[in-house]
Formats: sequence, structure tokens, C-alpha cells
Amino acid sequence: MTIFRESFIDIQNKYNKVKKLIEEDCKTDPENEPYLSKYTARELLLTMKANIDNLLRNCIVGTKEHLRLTGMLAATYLYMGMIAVDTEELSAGEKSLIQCQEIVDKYEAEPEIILVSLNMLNQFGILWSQRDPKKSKLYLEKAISLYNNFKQKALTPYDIDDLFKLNVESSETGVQSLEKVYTLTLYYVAQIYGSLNDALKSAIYCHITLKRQLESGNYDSIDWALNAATLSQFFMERNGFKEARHHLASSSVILDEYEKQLNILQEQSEEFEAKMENFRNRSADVSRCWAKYGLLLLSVSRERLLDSSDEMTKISDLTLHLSDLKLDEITASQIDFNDLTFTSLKTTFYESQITDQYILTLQDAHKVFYNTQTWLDKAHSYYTLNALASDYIDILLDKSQLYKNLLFFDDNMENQSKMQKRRADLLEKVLKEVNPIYYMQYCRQMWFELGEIYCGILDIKMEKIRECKGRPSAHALNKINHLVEKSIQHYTSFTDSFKEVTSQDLSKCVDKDLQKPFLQALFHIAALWSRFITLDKKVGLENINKSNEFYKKVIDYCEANPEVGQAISAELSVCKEMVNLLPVKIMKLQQEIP
Amino acid sequence: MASVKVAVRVRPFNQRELDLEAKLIIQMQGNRTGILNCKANARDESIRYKEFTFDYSYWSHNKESPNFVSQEQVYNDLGTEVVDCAFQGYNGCVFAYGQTGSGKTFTMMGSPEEQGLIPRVCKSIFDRMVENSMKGTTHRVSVSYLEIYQEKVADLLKGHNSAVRVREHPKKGPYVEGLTTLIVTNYEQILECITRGNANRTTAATNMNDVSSRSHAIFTITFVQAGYCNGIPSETVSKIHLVDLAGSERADATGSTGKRLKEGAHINKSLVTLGSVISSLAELCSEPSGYRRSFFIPYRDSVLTWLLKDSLGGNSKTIMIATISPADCNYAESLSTLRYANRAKNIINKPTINEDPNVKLIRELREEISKLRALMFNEHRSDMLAKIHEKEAREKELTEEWTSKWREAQAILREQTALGLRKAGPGVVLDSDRPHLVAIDDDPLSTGVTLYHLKVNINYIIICLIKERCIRGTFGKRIASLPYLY
Repeated sequence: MTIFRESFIDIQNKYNKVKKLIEEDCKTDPENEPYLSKYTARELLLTMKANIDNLLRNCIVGTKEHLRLTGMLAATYLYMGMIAVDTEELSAGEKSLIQCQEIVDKYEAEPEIILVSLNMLNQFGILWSQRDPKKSKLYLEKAISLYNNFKQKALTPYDIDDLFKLNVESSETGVQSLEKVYTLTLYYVAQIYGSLNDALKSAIYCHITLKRQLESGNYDSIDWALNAATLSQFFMERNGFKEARHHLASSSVILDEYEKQLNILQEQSEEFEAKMENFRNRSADVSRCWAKYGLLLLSVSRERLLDSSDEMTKISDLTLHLSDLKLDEITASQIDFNDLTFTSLKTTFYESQITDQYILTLQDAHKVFYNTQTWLDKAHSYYTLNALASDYIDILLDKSQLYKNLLFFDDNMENQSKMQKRRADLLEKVLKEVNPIYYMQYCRQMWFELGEIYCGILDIKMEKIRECKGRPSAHALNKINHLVEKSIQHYTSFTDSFKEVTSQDLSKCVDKDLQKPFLQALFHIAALWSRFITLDKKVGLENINKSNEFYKKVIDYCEANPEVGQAISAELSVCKEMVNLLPVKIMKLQQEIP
Repeated sequence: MASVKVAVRVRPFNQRELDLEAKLIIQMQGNRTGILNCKANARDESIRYKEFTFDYSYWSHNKESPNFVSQEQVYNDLGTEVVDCAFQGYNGCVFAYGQTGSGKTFTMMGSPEEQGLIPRVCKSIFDRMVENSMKGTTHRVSVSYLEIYQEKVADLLKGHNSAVRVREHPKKGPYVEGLTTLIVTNYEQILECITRGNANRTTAATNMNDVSSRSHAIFTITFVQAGYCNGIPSETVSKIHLVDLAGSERADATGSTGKRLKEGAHINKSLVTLGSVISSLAELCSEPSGYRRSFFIPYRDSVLTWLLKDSLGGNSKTIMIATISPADCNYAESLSTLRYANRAKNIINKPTINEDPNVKLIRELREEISKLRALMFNEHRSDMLAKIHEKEAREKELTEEWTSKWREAQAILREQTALGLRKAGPGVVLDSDRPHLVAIDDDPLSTGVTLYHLKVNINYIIICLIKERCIRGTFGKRIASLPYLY
């Protein structure tokens, strides 16, 4: 027995060394030999294997001891496999893992072996992920069912480390390790679904991973909150507003808890400051995710009202229809998919503040508007213009969008016009503050949007003039001309921004992705020139000439770059007709001028 | 428009590779670079040999080769453009990327005998400054040097470990709060700053394991030109960023270089990366349309691109040089470097404009078009319309006149070819496939035969002539015979 004891201690020492090598030492490997520690560990594992084999030969099959040694041997192969995979020797890794599998085969669900089995299946999953994700999925699914079967037996598993310790029985760490390895399995499944382009299932497994992190208490608050908020963005894009809202609310709850912890600390140290800064930064990010939720809810509701007036009878709620998913039998029976919630969190406070249903009335829209605006203001309190300009502008653009989404629900033209004006004020104010050299991308977006906004107000004012029966006042007409001018001015800033110092030829310097908006802007300018109201025929003639000139620009550009013409075919055909017909008008005007 | 140029350069074998009797696995032809996998014994050539196309493929493997690319050529191709750009007031960016020991430093810094890009760029800036100052322009050059490690920014000119924050000013663009900037007046001072920064980088490296291969370093030259433009004082500020990107061997799939690797199904093993798994999931559902994103993904790992955003895009010039080893033992690294370089153009964020569909406007314009049309048709009596028609008709007439003239001339030419003269037996046969009259002259002085082709419009007269048996008629004394009539 002493011989056994001695050899066992020898193996234990070697095991500890291996663990140290692959967990700590490998981080300080020299640059030119990045796998030095792992190779050393591999050598040690080989001798360990021989030692364990020796002990096994003198052991009676069926005893507790034999089982434990079997576990140790399997673990040795497992580590060899892991090292091989890490050092990019996939086929060698596979070989070791297959040997491991052969050893655990009959005992895979024994308390001594279960952790080796699950870790092994995870490693198979990783190994095959690079070759054939489908096969990888099979291994991971096997791990899921093995875990579930083991859980039903209510046994305490041995931690792998414990196998190598003399006189240690199964312990608490075994249970923790079991849960940890299972969480990893689910996390890998999430990624496999991602690579199989099944984004929804991937998202569901990400949710489960988050849920398990929460249950285990083993998570970083900021990371967790950020991940939940990011996942919400996925769900809402898939019309899963209920799920999205729940994830956002959970994110906020976790952040609130974290803030409380921080406030208790209240120490004056650099580290504390860094934590506070990170907290403020990430809270602002979660606020932005909330804001996007409100924005999307409004725009989805608008689109629904716009294009499905005949399908309105169909009541659809804004939750993901998970029951439609065809889930694999193994997993479906063991994981509750119909409930993507974090039950342990008290999320109702946040959830009660904003609906997860389609918006129908102005009143409902107002509620969403105010809530979203609050989140945007919160985000702006961190992302300020003077410190983080481009994020500031991004949020500002969301504010502009928010007004736009709201005004659809308001039938009052006066109100619509006011909201448009608010948008314009927001954007014009910041345009004065930023340097186009550094923020060109944002300036372009704002110029374009401003062109649209003034066009929008123009439409409303024209409508009003048409509605009122009497002659429009001079003031009203001046207003119209002012709006046309403003819109032209912003669209022109947009198109001029493409001019290069070196060449004035615009047809070559517009980025492919921006060609369409560029032509749209020209098209708008052309149409706008015809909208000036004037009694002076000379001015009128000039305006029509301008209009004609800009329609021609669109045509010329499309002739030089035929592929864009297809993208704006409707506009282009209008332009073509216009340049045919406008000369008639021009000639007529010319004749009328003495 | 932003321009990005990507170049790949291969270095000579180093001593270690020579000792190992390494095989050459890189091939370059024109702007293409190919890499051969010696180990793969697959029959499939696409697995054994992979080829990439870049803006430049620089063969600097052996000096004897006629295709050898010198430091000077690299500078001429890439460096001059950056300097030009800076003098025009735009920003420029030079990225160097590649495995440690692949010749990155040689390309960027070079040796005293063979200077690299940085010294040449600096020298050229100072030379041109001297030139321009004769014209009354004054200049100021300042430099800063920072390092990004694990998404934290450190000031390399400050000496001790000093974390700094990144900020973005509405007028001045992105900047690093409290970052040391030193005014320099010649290249030696710049070199001194680089050396000092590098020393700080290495000291830190002994504490943290091989930081240099996992961190990015950005050396920034800020360049202010002040002068009078049309009598008005003007000042332009431009920056040149020289970026040493994290070495490829450890810059793994978590995307420390900005963009995540999207190929293959590489599984992230640790839960630490759950964030990037979820982010890429959310990104997946973004439609590639021109619409503004309707969702927000908090950025996690892009301080580098964030800091450089004023120089990536707009009118700036971006250059990316990837360096590789020629040896088979570095196959995996070189391949990943080439792949990275191949995707390098993606580091520039594509700007998009959120536009509304023009349905309403188009409808209105269509209405206007029908009105204009109606105007045209209803005002037939209008002089204006008549004038237009008249003008159009006149133009048409003129062109038709001209074309018909041409047509006639052409017809005459064609007619002549329809006439054939051929030998038949002892005599000569003259024939034509068109209706014609042959005149056999009784004039003793005449020796020839005259053939008249009949124009369609005069056939009628001729038929009349025949009917009246009036052989001598308009044709005078000549006897006309009709070989055929249709």
C-alpha cells in the first residue's frame, strides 16, 4: 500500500505542476516559444499516464479505487487533448480525446467520471467547431443530456482536481465545477448556432448563459448588464419587444445594484474613480439601448399602421413566437424556451414605464416619447458635446428621429410643424459647433436630414395655404420661400461636401455607398427650385432654369455611373421627363417677359 | 474620398531560419502575393497554395533579384503620398502589421544605412517646411506617442505608467486627455522621442507578458501650417499617425484590432468573451441597407479605431503595410497576416446616410409632369408651341435633306457595281441585272455600244415608246432595244 501511496503522491505532484503550467506559467512564455509551458506539461502528462497505467494494472476492476484511477487516466488524456488543441495540433488532440472517450465509455455518468466526461465533450465540441459545426453540436448536445441525467440522480460529483488528491471524497467544488462546465456547454452551443446561421437559437442560448451566470452569482455586473442590454437589441430587431424590454430592465436592475455597492465604498482612490467612470459610461450605453427600444417601437408601430391596413384584424403581440421554433428533441425537453426571463430579478419597476405593445394612439405614443427622451437625456449627460462629440451627435440624431417618429401619430399640422422645427433647431445648433473636417460623416447626415426637415415643414405650410380659401398672405408666401431656401441650402451643403480640393468633377469622388443619397439631394434641389413662389417672371424663369439644370445633373451623373441609375429609377425617370418638358415652360416664360 | 492602400512586404531569411534550412514559401508577381503550405499534402491546389492581391506586393527577400524592392521605393510609393496629403491639410495614417520579427521595424524605422518610412517621412516634412518658409509660411510640428493595451491608453512619453482618457472635441476631433505633446524642430528630436517611447514600452513589457505584441502603439506627428491665404491669415492642422499594430500571433479572434474575424466557426472558450459573441449576434441582424441602425451596440474593443477615426475616412490617406517572413516555419503566422491585410480595408467605417423614400415627392412631380404635358397639348394654337414644332421640323428637314443626298450618291455607286462585263465563247457579253436599253449606233463613226439603265420613274415613258413602235424618238437616231421589261 505504501508503494501505491508513494506513486500516488508522485502523480499528485505532477498533476499540480501541470495545472500550474497550463493555467499560470503559459502566460509568461517567451514570445518566440509561445507554447513552451504547454509542451512541458505535455511531457509531464505522458509520464503521469504511464504511472497511472501501472497502478491500474494492480487494481481490481469494479472497486472504488479502480474507478477513481480510471477517472485519473481519462483526465490525463483529456489534458493532453486540450493542450494539443491549444497548440493547434488538432488531429493529435482528437486522438487523445478519443482515447479519453474509450476510457470513460462505460462509466461516463459515475460521480468520479462525470466531470471528465463533460469536459471531454466540450473539448470535442471546440475541436469540431472548426471542422464541422454540425458534428460539434452533436457532442455538445450529448453533454447537455449527460448533465441532465446526472442531475436527476442527485449525486455529488468529484471535481477533477479532487481525483488527484489523496483521501478526498466528493466535495462542494465538484458541484460548482459541474455547473460551470455545463454553463460553458450552453455557451458553446450558442456559438455553434451562431456559426450555423441560426441567430435566434444562438440568442436563446446566450440568454440561458446569462441566466446561469446570474444564478451562480459568478459574473461581473457591468459586463452582465451590458451583455443583457446588447442581447435586447437583437430581440427587438426580431420584433421580440417583450423579451427586449425584459433584458433592458434586467440590465438596469443589475446596474442599480452595482451602483449601490459602489456608493458604499466611497473611497478616494484611482481605482474607485476608474470604476465610477466605467459605471457612468456603461450606464449611458444601457440608456442608449433603452432609447433605441422606444424609437424602434414607434417606428415599427408606424409601419404597421401604414402598410397593413387590411391586416389590422390580425392581432399580433410583440413577443417572439418561440413555439414556432423547431427545437431538437433532446434540448427541447430539458430547457424551457417559452420563458426568456430572469426570474430572480425584480424588473417590474422598469418594465411598467414603457409598453411592449404596438402604439395606436397619440396618447400612447406620447408615453413612449417621454420615456425615450428621458433615456436620451440620460445618455447625453455622459456623452457631452465637448468631451465625446461623435457619440453626442449620434444621440442627438436619435432625438431628431424621436420627434419624427412621434409626429406620425399627431394629426394636428401645427404640432407636426413645431416638431419638425424642434428637430431643425437641434441639428442646426450642433452643426455650428462641430468641425466638418473631423465629423464629416455626421455633418453629412445632419445636412441631409435638415434638407428633409425643411421640405417636411414646407409640405405642411403648402397644405395649409391650399386649405385656406382666401388669398395667402404675403407673410405666408415669404415663409414658403424661406423654407425652400433653407432646404436647398442644407442639401447643397451636403452635395458640396463631396467636392475635392483637387478636382471639381463630382462624378468620380462620391463614395459608392453615398451615391444614392447624393443623387437624392440633387433631385430634391431640382424639385425645390420649382417651388419658389414669385411674381417676378424673370426670377421665376431663373428658378425653372435652375430646376432644369439640377435634373440634368442627376441624369448626367447616372449616365456616367449607370449602376446607380437603377437604384433611383423612379427619380431618374421623373428627371428625364422633366428635362423634356421644362424647356416648354421655360420658353413660355421667356415669351411672357417683355 | 478616403483612400486606403495595402502593401505586403517579405523580408530575407534571418539567421534562425537559415539554421533551420527553411524553405521559401512566398511568391510575388506584380501586385499578387502567394503562399504555399508545404505540410499540406492535399491534392486540392487551393488548399496548398493561396494567393492574395494587394495594392503593392514588395519583394525584399533577396537583393540580387531584379524585382527587389528597396526602402526608397517603399517610401516613394507610400510615403510621399502621406506627406503630400499632410501639406494639403489632410490627415494620414500608416499602419504596420505583422508577426514579431517579420521586418516591421525595418520597414518603419530601417537602419542608419537603409532608412525606413518614418525617418524619410519626417525628413521630407522638414525639407518642405524649409522650402515653404521662404514663401512666408510658418510651421509647427509636435509629436506624441501612446500605447493601447487591453483597451487602455498609456502615454509613452511620460515615463511612468500613466493611464489617460480618450476624448473627442467638437472642433479639434479625437484627442487623448493630458497626453504629452512635444514640439520638435528636426528629425533628430523626433527620433529621440521614438526611442524614449520605445524604452517605456519595453519597461512595461517586463511587468506584463509580451505587451508589445499585444498592444498597439501610435506615434502622432501634428503639423500646423500658418500663413496668409489671399491676405487672410489661415492655419491648417494635419496629423500623421504611425501605427504599430499588435502582432498577429496574439491579436487573436476577440478582435483587439478592431474587427472580429468572421470566418470559420472559431469558438471562444472563455465566458469573458460572451460580450463579443452577443455583439456579433446583434450585428448579424443588421440589414446592409443604407438605413441608420435602429439598434445600439456598445463598443467594447475599439479604442484604436476610435482614436484614429479622424484619420480613417474623409479625405485622409491610409496606408497599411503588412510584413511577413518568407519561411515555411512561419506559415501559419504569415497566412494570418495576409488574411488580415486582405481585410484591412474594412477597418474604415463605411458611413451611411439615413434617407427617407421619396414617394410623396415623386408623386407630386408626376402630377406636375402631367400638367406640363397637358399644357403642351392644350395650347396647340399657341405660337410658342408652333415655334417649337417649326424649329423641330426645320431641324428634321435639314438632317433629312442631308441624309437623302448621301443616300443618292451611295445608290449611284452601288449601281455601277451591278454592271458586269464577262467573256463568253469567242465574244464579250455585257449584261446587267437592272432594266436597261442598249443603243446600237448606226453612226459609222461610233464603235461602241451604249447601255442606258432605266430609272423606275421613266419606265412608263419607255413602255409608251415601245407601244407606239417609235424606235427613234427622244433617243434621237439611236436604236433602242429592250432586253426585258418587268
